[in-house]
Amino acid sequence: MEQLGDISMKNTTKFVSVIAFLATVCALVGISVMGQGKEAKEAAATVEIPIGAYAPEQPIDYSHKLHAGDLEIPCQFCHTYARRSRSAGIPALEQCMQCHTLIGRDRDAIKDVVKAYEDKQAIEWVKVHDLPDFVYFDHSRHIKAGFECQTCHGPVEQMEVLYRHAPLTMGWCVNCHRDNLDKGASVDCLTCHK
Amino acid sequence: MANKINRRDFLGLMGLGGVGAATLSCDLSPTDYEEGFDEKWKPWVDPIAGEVPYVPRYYATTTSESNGVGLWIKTINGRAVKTEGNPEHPINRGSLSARQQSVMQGLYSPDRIRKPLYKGKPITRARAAEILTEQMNANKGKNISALTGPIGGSLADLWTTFVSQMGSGSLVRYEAFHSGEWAGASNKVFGQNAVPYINLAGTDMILSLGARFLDDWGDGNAHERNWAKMKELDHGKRGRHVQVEPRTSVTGAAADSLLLCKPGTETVLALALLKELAAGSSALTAEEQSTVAGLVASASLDDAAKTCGIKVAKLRTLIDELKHAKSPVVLPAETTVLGHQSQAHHIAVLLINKCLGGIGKHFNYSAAKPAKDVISHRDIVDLVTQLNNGAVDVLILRGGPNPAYSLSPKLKFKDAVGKAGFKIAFADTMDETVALADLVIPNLHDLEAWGEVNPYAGLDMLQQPVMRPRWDMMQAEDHLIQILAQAAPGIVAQENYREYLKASWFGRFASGSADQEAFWRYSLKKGGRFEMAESGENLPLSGDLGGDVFANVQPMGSKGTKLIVLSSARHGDGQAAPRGWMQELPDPMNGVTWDSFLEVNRTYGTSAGWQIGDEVSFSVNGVEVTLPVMLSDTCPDGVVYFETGMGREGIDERYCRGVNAFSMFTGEVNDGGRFAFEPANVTLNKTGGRTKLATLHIPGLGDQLNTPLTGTDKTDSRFTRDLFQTVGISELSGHGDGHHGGGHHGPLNKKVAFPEHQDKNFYYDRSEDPLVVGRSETFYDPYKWEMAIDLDKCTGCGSCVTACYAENNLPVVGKDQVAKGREMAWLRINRYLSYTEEEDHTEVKAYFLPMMCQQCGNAPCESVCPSLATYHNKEGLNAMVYNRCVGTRYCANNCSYKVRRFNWFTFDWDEDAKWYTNPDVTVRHKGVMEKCTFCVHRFRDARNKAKDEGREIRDGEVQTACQQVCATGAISFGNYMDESSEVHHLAHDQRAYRALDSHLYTKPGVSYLKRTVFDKGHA
Repeated sequence: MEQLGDISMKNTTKFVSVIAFLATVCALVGISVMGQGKEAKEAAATVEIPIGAYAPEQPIDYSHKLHAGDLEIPCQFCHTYARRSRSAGIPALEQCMQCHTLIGRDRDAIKDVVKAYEDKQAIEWVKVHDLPDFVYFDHSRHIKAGFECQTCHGPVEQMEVLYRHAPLTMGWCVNCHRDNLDKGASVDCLTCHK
Repeated sequence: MANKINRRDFLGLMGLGGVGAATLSCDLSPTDYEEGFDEKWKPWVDPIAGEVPYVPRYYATTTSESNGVGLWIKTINGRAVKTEGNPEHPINRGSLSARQQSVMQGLYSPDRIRKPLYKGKPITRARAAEILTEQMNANKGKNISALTGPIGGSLADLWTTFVSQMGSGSLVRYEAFHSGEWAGASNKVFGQNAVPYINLAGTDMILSLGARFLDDWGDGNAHERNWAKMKELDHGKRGRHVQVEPRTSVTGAAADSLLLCKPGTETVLALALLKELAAGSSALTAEEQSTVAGLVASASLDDAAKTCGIKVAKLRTLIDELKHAKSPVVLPAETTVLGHQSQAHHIAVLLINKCLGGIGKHFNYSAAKPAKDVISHRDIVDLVTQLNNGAVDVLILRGGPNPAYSLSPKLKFKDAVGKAGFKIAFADTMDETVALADLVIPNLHDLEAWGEVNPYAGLDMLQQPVMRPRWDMMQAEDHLIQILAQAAPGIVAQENYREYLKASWFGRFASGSADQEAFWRYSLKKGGRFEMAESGENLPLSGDLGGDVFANVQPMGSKGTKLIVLSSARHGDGQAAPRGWMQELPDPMNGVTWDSFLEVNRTYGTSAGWQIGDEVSFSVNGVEVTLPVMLSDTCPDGVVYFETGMGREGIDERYCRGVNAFSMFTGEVNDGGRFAFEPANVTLNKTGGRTKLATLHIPGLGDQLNTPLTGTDKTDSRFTRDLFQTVGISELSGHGDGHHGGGHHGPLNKKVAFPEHQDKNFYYDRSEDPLVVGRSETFYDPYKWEMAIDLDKCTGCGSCVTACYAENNLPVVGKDQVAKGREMAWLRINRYLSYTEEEDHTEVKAYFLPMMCQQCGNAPCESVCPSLATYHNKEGLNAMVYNRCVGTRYCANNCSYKVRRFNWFTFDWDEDAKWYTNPDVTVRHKGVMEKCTFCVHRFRDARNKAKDEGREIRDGEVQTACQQVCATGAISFGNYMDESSEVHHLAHDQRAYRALDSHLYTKPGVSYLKRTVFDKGHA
């Protein structure tokens, strides 16, 4: 099928993919070396799911602790849209495959991922952090203002199973906005309710 | 206040109690709202290159139905969500009409064909391909004819190649409304068989003999823009627009002077004008003068005046004004009132413009539509004859034009198609014509497919897919190339139409270009090739003006009530009828939605004992028609008016409504190559039936369309509140930027803590509000968003209304709810009438005023909201927090402008319609009040960008949706506090006033600029 439009510059895309591939290989080598080194030393601390916290079962037993904690992969390596869009997004399966074409192919969870990728079947993740439809939230603005992901999402790098850390209630949002008025945060209703 | 609980605190405590109870009674799972819990998320398997979720991407493209304008399609998350105008395009320059915007509802139409059909039954794609191949093999070399829309460029090349290679058939192009009549007339006058590009730029006087160039005639977007430019005041002077027409149209209402003429007399008038203007014209040579004089020897202005019913003195003034204007333009009448005099009329109009020196500048033959692209309706009549003779073995229909709907039933098109050996349709949407085919192969919509549109020489537009096809299907042209590859190998070198188009594009335009790939990308990004010649030559009269060109000119028909049929700006040739936005957009002159109606003079109708909605029947050209009447003050006696586009059949049943105007046509083709229709004498008989017409309606004001602008009854406050104001041009001082006479609204001081006139406690006292403690509560610093609307430029066309529907996800509520006054339009066009007693008649004028939330600085709605859902924000917006609204409707009751809309239901959206909803706008449910907030979500990107760059938002950086599509530029929007901004400038214009401000002191944030009127004594 024809790629959308022709604005996407094919040559540039190819070039970028080659660079991305090389970078990925380097990163992989780095990560595996680093990971082995870490494993040899000590694994990152694990945080228990607090009682009553929302931690839905996901189709794949994905561990943020392993990826973000033990392997120290930066959040935005996978959640690439967070700094550019209102939605941080769950990475496309292709992003998983950049590493898992080589790594961990013998594990059950990875086999599921590879199968889904080969079948071109999107994995249906359950949203852990979800806001109602009448709230407008923009990831990119919060990252541009210099906030850590952990401020709202909690110690993700220590979570085997991702759970909702913050209540995500309006009071919780407004409290933080009020504390950061000097950084340009707004408490006008229209900021989030457009 | 500290000692007593006020209402809001009480509600707050109640709320706390509720939460407390909920907390105690259930477990600790963090569900404080029902929705979205356990919501699933499906990320992409492979990301689309460059696509970022929720960040819009725009694609420059066009569609075959867009009347030759350039589009920018906004896509979000890989799906098309909104139609916007291409700002670089020479014709529309970013503007769009209501109908052009509705292409989005065509893309997501419930009538889209998803599976191939054989004899009406769904079959698999493989089976369809088999049947197609079988038929093509069996019929190769026989008559395989194709019927398509007005295709040009590489599309026409490919179809012509296909038809000629496959057999002895022909390619027939058809479109219900086209401008082909210019070609014949131009050939006679200038020896140019082409349709000139009519360009009103730089004119200072427009005389239209009926062409509704501001609603649905020619390149409306460009005409509106240039018309508005003409009306701009420059040192107390501006150009004039005089409209001659049988019935008040939107264009007539916008004209400075409307001369109502008897229907069918336009050509007689044109000849008389030609005679007067040719005599002594400096633009003609002596020889040309004598030629023209010879042609119009028998014409006489006095007789013409009598025939038309216009005073001869008026005509003399008009001629005088035309002669003295610097660069006047005269436009013809509408083809459907010209009958068989079409060519004579167009010849006369071309000659008049020749006399006035407008050929070249206003009638540009260097940017003309060439003869090969000109359509004539004779072709389809010939096709019908061939079909009836059984000469066509295979008929291939390309979806789009719908002749089974728009041809006169007298031609018996459906029966004729039945006589073809086999019928194949490639179509994206089901319609009356596609339903006739044996084999229906689903086609991609124009927004999913490649294509090309070529309206004029030098204007070639590329159509590129803006999203992946919604279903697995292939575009019709790819099928043709596949068939050709088998049947005639080597004829088409390319594998698919995209490559074919590219090769054709290079061949035509990039022969000298070194990097063809870069040129292709450049063209796609731009939207095509925009190299129309600015102006053409002033051509000499070198055509064949035989002595008999005006021989058949005479007034049409006898005395009596005459029926006029014109194209509808909303539904066009019927293609836009099955679209909710177009059905719910009120007819500008009458406010009718969702139904066909017959416009009848109110006095005539009342004296016959009819009321609005009473059905009358009449017979025209042998067809019996029954229609509900709409009584109108602007429609003159002796004329009844009806428009095309309704009466579709066999589609989504919600849109099968009304009566098909094309059924009244005779099927004869006139000498201009169009189906002739002339004002027909009709006798109306009341049938006793009744249709309740759903008209635009304001609660509390009754039928607002019949609210007169001025009235004698001074006790009725509707007449004294000056909602719509006009001002004489001579009353204005020369410069146009003083501050006197106009508004009652004094300039606002910068950085005021509260709007100065107000008691601080007028608003909820926020001095101890924890939200604002430690902060100076400064209003209007640095922004106060305001809007200015120039009533001189507003034509009332309604494209802003549709833009608002598209941008803000306004639901289409259907006829029953509109009839109850529950339409959800945040922006509506108010129509006001003024009645002036003249010597022998009452002159009725219609004025239009776009009305949306005025973002009052002293808003009546805010103070009555018990839940603080609506409040005045620091940037001057009357904010509305939907999830805070509890639905008391106090605000709507108290709104002086009646612009708040209540969700009486959670309106269901079609599954398809959900695709084009704007994800930036809050979802609203049953029980919530909603309204315009100046597209506040659009500020976000500009604000973020400005914040990142450490500056304030620049003037013009934020456009509201309504402003963006307005072709005349009537709407301006910006920061009032920026003294250099356009909106600040306009708010202090001497014409500026704020609606109801002097009566209610609401301090609206919208300035209206009074409509300027000429003094008496003009034509």
